[in-house]
Amino acid sequence: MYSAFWWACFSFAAIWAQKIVPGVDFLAPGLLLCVQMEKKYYIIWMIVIWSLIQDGIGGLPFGYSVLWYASIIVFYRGGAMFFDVQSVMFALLCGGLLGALHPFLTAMMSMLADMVWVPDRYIFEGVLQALIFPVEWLLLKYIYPQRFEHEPV
Amino acid sequence: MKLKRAAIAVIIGLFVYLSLYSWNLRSGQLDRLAGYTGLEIVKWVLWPCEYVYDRSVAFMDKYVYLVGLKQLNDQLSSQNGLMRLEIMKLREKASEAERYQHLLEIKPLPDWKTNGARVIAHRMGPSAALDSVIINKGAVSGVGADTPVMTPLGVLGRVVEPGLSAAKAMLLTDRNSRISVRGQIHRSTGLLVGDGAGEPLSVKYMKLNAPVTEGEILVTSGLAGLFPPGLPVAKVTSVERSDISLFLSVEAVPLVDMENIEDVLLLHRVMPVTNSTAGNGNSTVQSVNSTIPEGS
Repeated sequence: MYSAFWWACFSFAAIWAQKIVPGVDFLAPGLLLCVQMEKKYYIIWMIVIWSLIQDGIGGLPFGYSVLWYASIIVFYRGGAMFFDVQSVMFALLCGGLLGALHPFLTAMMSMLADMVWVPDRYIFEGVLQALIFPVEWLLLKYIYPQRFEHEPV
Repeated sequence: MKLKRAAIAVIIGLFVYLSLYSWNLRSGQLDRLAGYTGLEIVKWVLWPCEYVYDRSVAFMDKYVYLVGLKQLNDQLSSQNGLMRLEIMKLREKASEAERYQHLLEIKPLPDWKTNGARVIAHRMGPSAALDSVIINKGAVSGVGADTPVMTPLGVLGRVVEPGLSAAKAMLLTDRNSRISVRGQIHRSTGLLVGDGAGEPLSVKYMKLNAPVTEGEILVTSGLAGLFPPGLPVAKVTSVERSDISLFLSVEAVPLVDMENIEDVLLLHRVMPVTNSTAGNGNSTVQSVNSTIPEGS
């Protein structure tokens, strides 16, 4: 129950961070941390609520955020076969992959919605995402209370 | 075995996703759901802090600094904004009256009313493909898709996705924005197209012989029916005539500072009020007349 409150506070702070840095997802590192802790119910709820938030405030048709957050789980499951997915190196790799995915996903969704796509902006945002993601993940891992990790969901 | 299960899960996931995406493209239900929930959550996360900040700043301004002078300045500033808007409207109406004074029948333009709203966020989130602002008025306040958004200085854009008590408006600088405009003096029509934040707007399909000049104000033409005619939108900065094109190459800059906008006006069309207390006989006549097609 306390961890749910913690995640709600995190969402609040992340939305404010998104207001300050447009185009970057500050919620995604939280999802990776949750996936690493194997909290399945939280993962489902987070994907549903955060997809609604991101697609609600975004300008693309519904679907971008579902693919975006699903890709984190795919990276995690795929990475688990080759790497230590709890390490900082994996967070760096995941940030880099998400950064590369951002322009690709926006281009695909813009094309499907018959909208104009601006490559420079999304490539820049992808670079920002790749830089911010591991730093934020590290911060979250540091401040996330240890006692919540074993809290029953 | 594990790999096989993963592959099946991915295929099923893709199938479900594509089904939902296709269904949403046709019905728009998921877009509406995301608009109503996502925008609401973000509004109630951002707005209370913005409100507290504004109140604190206002309190400091009023009671720490020169109280009387500040209040008077606030009052005059707000009056100035309204007067500018009024002058623009009257100027447009005066020129319109001159153009149409020889006509016998002038159809009155439908009336519009304004409603103030506050900008609570600019473009945000990874899927923010549009140059947009989020405002604190939604469907509850009568805001719908394509509701025009403006300031006393000119047009800002239009609402693209209304939420319950918040809405998302696309700015006219966005590359997907198209507004039908005409020159305030020379009345040449064109299509104002956005070219991205910080970039000049371009006016398409303005005829080569159009007498448009640098410095002319472009106003909404009202041809598309979304905006009322005569609202100032942009100022022409360059006009180039091409030998190979049938149209002028015109650039313009928006009249509104898109980056630092805090408050906006929403325009609502006022529906004509029908006299419901009239007798049954009159009502019948009205309803019979309303069914007769125009021109018959």
